[in-house]
Amino acid sequence: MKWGWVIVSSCLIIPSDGFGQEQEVAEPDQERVPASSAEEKDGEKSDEKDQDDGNDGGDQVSETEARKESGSAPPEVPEEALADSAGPEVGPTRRMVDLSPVDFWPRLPVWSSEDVGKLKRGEIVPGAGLLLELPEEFVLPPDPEPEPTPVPRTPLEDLLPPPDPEDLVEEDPTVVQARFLEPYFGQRPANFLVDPQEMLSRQQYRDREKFLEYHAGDSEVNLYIYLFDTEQQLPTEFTIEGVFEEHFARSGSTALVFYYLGAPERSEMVLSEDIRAVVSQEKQDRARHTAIQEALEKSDFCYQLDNFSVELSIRLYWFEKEMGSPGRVEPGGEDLLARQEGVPAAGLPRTESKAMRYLGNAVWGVLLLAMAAVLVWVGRVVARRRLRYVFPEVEVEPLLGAPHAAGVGAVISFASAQLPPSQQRDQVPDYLQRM
Amino acid sequence: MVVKCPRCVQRVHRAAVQCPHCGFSVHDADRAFGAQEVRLQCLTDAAGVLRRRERETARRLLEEFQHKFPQLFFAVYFGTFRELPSLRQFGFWLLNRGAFEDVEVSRPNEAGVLLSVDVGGKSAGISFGYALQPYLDDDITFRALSAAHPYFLQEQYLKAMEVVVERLGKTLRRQARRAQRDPESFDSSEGPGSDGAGDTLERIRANHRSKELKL
Repeated sequence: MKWGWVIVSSCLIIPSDGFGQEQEVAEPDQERVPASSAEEKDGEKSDEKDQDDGNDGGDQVSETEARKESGSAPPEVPEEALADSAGPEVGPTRRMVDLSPVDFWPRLPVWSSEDVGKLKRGEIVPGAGLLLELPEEFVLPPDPEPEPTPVPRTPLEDLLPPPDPEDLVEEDPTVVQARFLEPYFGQRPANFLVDPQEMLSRQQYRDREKFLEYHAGDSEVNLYIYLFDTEQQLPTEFTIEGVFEEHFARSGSTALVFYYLGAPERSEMVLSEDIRAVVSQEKQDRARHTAIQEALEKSDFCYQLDNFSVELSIRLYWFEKEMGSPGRVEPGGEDLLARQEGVPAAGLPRTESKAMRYLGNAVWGVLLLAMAAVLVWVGRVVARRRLRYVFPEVEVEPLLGAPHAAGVGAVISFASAQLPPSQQRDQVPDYLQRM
Repeated sequence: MVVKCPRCVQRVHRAAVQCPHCGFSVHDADRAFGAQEVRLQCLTDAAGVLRRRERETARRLLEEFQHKFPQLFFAVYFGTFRELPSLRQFGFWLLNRGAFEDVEVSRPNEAGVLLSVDVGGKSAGISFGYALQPYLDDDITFRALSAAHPYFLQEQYLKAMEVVVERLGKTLRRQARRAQRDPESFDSSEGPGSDGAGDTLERIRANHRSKELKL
């Protein structure tokens, strides 16, 4: 701030070269006028000063007149000098604050006719000097190469476990790695969805597992799904029947499915003995095929799994119904199964059936309420229509000799549409009218 | 309960044989309209203003009124009177001398309400029997006629009649409920009256069988 103020002050007070020239031409008459003229001018000036003190303008006028009288022409001033002395009439005080570029900055170069000719011939390219290599004296010496500083070793590499040599080997997509066999087949799974290879993300796994849990809570038949990759082949010693016998044979009604992600048509299913005893093999195959068809309706492997499990859940529900009434097929069950062959699964079956049941109950309730309201209304109408209004016996003495009636009510005229009824009420005695 | 003279529209005290103001009595009406009883029906369209369907509708309406009020009946008379002294006197006379053939004997003229409409003279009036004297008056009947006034102006006589019947029926329902709740609020000390009503009606109707009078 302080330095900035000093610089600005120096620009205002200390003149540049241009300013110096101006100082040189600030009083051109004193230097460039001949001595005789100067003396005369001095003499006249002193006389005029006596007459009119402090009149500078008068001095200049008098100088001009003196020159005219002396017949001395003003000295010829070269154009460059005139150009340098731009604004000689301006006093020094005013110039101190005049910061116009013409006065403050050096003059721009002027094109000579020779240069113009070179420019037209192409010998001069404007701005070419900027593109030239700098002379050696202007080239900075190259930076000395920095000394290599020792970089500390990233601790992350130390923290990471050494890569598993099996990972380095390219995995065969058709083979289930040996390290997954134990989680798959070593024991009875704790969850309904078995995916030790983690082919599903955590969220995807959780959603599907939740559905299977819901099914297990709502159905007598538990549904276990083992997930394998699209092209994976199980080792020959592991078959779905063997796995079922080993882990699920004594765990009640169970459906075990080996599902291949992205290839639902490869799915395998085994049902427990109690189901197989009631449900024919044909129905079992049909259930699996229908579930596969439903899965193939989707392109995403996750949605395929959704459709597959939902449809299979529906089928297991009907199997369960069939099991619940031995020797008797649930009314409409066969038809429904047959009908659903080509119908895509729609949502959760149990939820839908419950919702439909609630909706039906609600509709029935509303209908009953409406019918009750209509009945009440009709009853009231009938009651009102059947209601009789009886007046108590009133004994009235005959009037005006009339045997039955002497009650004279109002008489109203409707001759005029403009007058209100009250103004057309007839209350005038008859003998004042027409009688 | 205020009774007015059909001719001078002045108040008449109880049991007056004739109007103390103008001396009007039923005999004056007999002289004007005839001393003989006339046979007619509840709905008499002497002016011919109702179509057949409208007459049926009007009859049903009157039947409903009778159904609703087992003691009462409602009669409507549409006529055109060239030199009618007074519609009020005419109503008074017709309700006393008329024998309504389609009304049960158990409903004497004392329990009748008559709406008489002079189609040519463009006026309408209401008369009622002794039995309704505690429940109807000049103002009540005027309100009923006022409600029907727009339809009278448009010569929609059926609609006008419906409005009058509905309004009076509404009033009578209310009065009947009040009378059932508090019979004493309706003065019953008006003296004897209905004792000989049946006899009178029988006499009138017997007379009508032998004589007919066309209006």
